[in-house]
Amino acid sequence: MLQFHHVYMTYQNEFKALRDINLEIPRGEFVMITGPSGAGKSTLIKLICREMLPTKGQVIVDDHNVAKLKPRQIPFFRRRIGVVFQDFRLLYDRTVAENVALALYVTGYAGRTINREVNQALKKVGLEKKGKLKPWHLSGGEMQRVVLARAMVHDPPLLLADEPTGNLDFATGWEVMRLLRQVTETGTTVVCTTHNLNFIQKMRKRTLFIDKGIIRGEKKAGQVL
Amino acid sequence: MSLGFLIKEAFRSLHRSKRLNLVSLGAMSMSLMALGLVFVLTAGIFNLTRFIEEKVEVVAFLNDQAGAAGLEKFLATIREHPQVDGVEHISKEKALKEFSGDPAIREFLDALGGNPLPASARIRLREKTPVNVQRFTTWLKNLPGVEDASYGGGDADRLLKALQFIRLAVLALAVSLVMAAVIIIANIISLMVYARQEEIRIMRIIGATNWFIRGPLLIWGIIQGAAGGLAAAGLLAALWQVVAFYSLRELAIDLHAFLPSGALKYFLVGTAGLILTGSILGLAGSLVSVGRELQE
Repeated sequence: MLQFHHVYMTYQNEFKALRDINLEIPRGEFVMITGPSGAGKSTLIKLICREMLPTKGQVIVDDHNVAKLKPRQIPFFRRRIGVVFQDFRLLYDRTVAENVALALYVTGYAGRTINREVNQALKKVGLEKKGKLKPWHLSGGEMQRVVLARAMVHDPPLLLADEPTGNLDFATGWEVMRLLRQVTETGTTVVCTTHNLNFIQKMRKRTLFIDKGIIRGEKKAGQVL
Repeated sequence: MSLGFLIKEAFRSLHRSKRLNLVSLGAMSMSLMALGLVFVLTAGIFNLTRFIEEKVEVVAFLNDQAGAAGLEKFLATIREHPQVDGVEHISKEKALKEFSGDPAIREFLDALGGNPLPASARIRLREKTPVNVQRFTTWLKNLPGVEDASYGGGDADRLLKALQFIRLAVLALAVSLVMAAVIIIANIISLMVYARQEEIRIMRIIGATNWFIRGPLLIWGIIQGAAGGLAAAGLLAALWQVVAFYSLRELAIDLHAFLPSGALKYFLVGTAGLILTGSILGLAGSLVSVGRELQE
């Protein structure tokens, strides 16, 4: 599903965010990436969804070399990826349901189907009764669940979650993690970054330890820290 | 991509940036109003020109020494000219009778003694364009037995030239205002794009194409332009009524006479024209801006 071949990423200010990253994630796997702030976790996510291009090396997503995508192909490539951000990135002048529906409008779904799919997605994250509310009426955990519903509503084969629990307390964060784990049950590949070792311990998923742009170690699924 | 969704998004933009919308609507309606004024003036000048042309006739003043044979020969020459539609001969006696109707002129003629008025021929032409009339008058002056010839169009020419000048001045003003309106719309869209950076970023991340992001902004431009056109038509109609009212009351000039017949039809066509022009200008402003601001 996802491959990194000798990937380097250096920013314009010469900061080396990633160095010689080699990685393979099979379809349907849940992989956690952890490390201190500035380790390169978010850069890795941005390279996967083609927000940035690697300075060197290849990023292969679903058999596509992201660097070789033509500009007009990028939107269609991104529709196969769901993204969850730490800071939610919701549209605050729209209702919860409209935020979720946006992903379907973008993908070209018909109006009637959109209502049905949005209701199902909100039900999956336990927000079926909050569709008409604006995001500021929700708690942090609820907002993150809306983001998750938006990311999953069109059933993408790959879900990227960049510090999805970063702004949440442990109990709320765990609720989000539990929902992410459910996503893999439908065959979706999940890449989730976090710096919270408690979640890593509790999730018992394959985990990559990254620091200063280098993968320093790996914990296999089921292993205890 | 659903058109309904794009239109809904465009109206969301209208609702969200009320003050900016008001600025662009004002600029658009003012510029379109000036443009509409040009159309009204053009129509007025066209009708006035036709009105004046209808009244134009060339008068040839005949030499007293020409005699009856000379007069017949002269009239025959005139009638054979392909441009001539009709000729009326005014003898010296008939001219005296016509002028004597005015007491002041009769007093003046009595003081002179005898009949100083020349015989003349009033000639109606088929084509009454200024160039044609001038050319015919020059030809007429060179005929034997003709003392002088005139078409009395000097004043009309001056009036038409003055109106043409006013029309050009208003056109120049309208073009400047239209350009300003397009620039204002383009810049307002730039501001809107800037204010929506985060939203656009989210849309890109979830797979929105450039046209999905641009669509609502282009529709917004069209709506702004169309609304500006409608407002301009309303303002212009109101302005016309006010000017026509004062013109009739103070100057006894009925301006409605200079509009083509069927004023309502004219107004509706003009309104449709302004709405269409506004929509095209709004779209142009939006295209300029989204092309510049939304490059990935």
